[in-house]
Amino acid sequence: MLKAATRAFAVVGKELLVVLRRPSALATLVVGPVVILAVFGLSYTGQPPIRAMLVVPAASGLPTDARAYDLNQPGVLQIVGTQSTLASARQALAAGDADIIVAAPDNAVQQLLHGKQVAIQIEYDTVNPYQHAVISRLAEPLAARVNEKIVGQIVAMAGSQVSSSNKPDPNLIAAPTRAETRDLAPTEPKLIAFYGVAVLALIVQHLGLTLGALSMNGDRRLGMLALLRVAPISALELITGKYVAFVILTGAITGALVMLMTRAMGVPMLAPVGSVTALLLLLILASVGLGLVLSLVTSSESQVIQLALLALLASVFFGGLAIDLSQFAPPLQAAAQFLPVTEATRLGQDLFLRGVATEPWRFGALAAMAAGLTIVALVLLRQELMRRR
Amino acid sequence: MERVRKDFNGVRALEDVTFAVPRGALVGVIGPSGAGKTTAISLFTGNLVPTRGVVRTLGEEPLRLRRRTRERIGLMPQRFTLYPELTTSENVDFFASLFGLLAWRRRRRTREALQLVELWGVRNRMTAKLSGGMQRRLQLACALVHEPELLILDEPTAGLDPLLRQGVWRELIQQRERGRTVVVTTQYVVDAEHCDLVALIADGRLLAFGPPRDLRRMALGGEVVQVEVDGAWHGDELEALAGVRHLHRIPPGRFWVVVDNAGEVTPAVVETVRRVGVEVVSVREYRPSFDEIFAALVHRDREGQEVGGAAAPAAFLLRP
Repeated sequence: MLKAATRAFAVVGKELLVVLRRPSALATLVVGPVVILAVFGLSYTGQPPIRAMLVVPAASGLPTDARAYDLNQPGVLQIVGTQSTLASARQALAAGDADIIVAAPDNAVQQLLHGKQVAIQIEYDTVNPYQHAVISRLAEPLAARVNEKIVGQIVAMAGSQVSSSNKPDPNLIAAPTRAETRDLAPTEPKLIAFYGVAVLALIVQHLGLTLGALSMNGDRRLGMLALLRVAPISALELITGKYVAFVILTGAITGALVMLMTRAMGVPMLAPVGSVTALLLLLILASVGLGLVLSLVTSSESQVIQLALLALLASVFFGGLAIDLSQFAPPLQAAAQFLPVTEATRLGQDLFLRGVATEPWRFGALAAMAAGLTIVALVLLRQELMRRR
Repeated sequence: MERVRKDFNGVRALEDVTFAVPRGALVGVIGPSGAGKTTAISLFTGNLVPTRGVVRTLGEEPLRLRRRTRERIGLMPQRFTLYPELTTSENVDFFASLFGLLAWRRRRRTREALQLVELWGVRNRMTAKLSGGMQRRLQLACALVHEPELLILDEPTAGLDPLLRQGVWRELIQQRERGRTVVVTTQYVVDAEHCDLVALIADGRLLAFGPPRDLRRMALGGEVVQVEVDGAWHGDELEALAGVRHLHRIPPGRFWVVVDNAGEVTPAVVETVRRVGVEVVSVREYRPSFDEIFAALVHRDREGQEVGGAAAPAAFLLRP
């Protein structure tokens, strides 16, 4: 038992020293993730507000003050001004001073009084699908606000012919209700917080995976396997040593990243430290396991680096970081659950921003992944040590 | 190993090789590069399995060596297999730990092993910064640190200068004197001199196996007394002497007398030459180098002659 522990700890020490003594690797491992997270947190400003230019013809009688049309959506919509003609508004659009033009008709009231429906013209110029979607969503409330002003104008005209002490407020008639929304989540949705947790999960997975993947290949490249086959060390002792070393390394870096996120970037962490630690530990174990499996099914360092990069790409696209998983076909959604980062991102966002895991089964999925990959890595390593020509 | 054959993808690396390593002996597996030496010792460690034949290491099948048995083996591979990011002593300590040495003994043995190979002074130096010779010695220290009964060393002197090679052989002889069994491969045929037993391998075939003195006899068909005379003489009287197996004439006036025992026959040879009245220029035992012996044995093998038989020594050994 003591000898087994000695052998396993020999591997722990060796792995730690091998990583820490390589300045470039250390920089990549420690400084790299911290810089990436810091750059993300400090430079990400989110989607800039859509700038709307209103066209209010002088003859329309509608208010020309831009503030009258404000939808009270700071950060989402900014009404940059009003123009009296569509042509001048189009110039502003072409010059990049506005993203959308909302043009009120010249003689809306007259046309309505003659029983004709009038059109509010909305124009924009974008090839960006995300911006297209946002503008499309904002076009309707903007048009509604112009509508509201037109209706208010008609009500005011009608009200002037009524002699009553209880004359209704034309604006109230034009907009008799308003929506009051309330987000029940315990923290205010912030892009930095939401995506920061996802980036953390991605970095941790990539770290663990890379360490695991390169370790076995390093042994193979050095010809160490020939010695390990003769030495009285078992596959279990060898893999235990590697796991412990990489959990220590990745855990330390993850701790620094969590501190950076919560202290410097203001990301709240509502769940108890124990729950977050359990999540990150499971993520690290699963990632190291995945790395070890990749290294054991490949035969060269270049192959394993390629696979690690593919795993990173798959995680970015299908882990829910770049695009929400709900936008993919169900089979791919199901397949994405087999990436540790997918489970960790969902759990992390819940634990950090809600304080509880709304889908606790994901803990089980992550634990199953960690256990399964460890067993597969152990079996493959045993085969590798038993492999003879 | 007994009647071992090893093929790699249809290419034969070893053919019908049989030899046994006695406990406590220093056995050299010697041959040129690509002869099959590494293949042979990799069969002992279990890193390779024979295509045919039987291999036993410390009485067990190498593929299924028990953990306790593996603790009794020290291996030094041909290529450098240490961690360049670790210091000299950290590498030795790592190997000591792999073999289960506990802390106190590990510290002592690391120091002893490094002192033995004269690397204690550079114990804190990064392995990557050691010279090639130092790295070979460090590899040797790693193989020795757990005091194995059986040391298997693949080309420990490869790439070393003559002085360092001498140092490594001194070390191996010391190990043998401490009761360890040492199996060592080398492409330097002259190193056979240091071994108790030598397995000469070429083209995957075992040309000869035995003590170095016996190899000389195998190559020459016996021991050789070289005679040089001044004057015309055919040398027929020498052929008739007891203990003489062959006589080779190398005109003018030179003879190779192949005998069972040079020490016993030489006085009779001198006496015979004087008796016939020819002036003796020199009479001495001929001791060819191991390079020459190896070349002769390879020559014989390629010509299909039985090594160690009564055939004549290879012609090129009879040059003037």
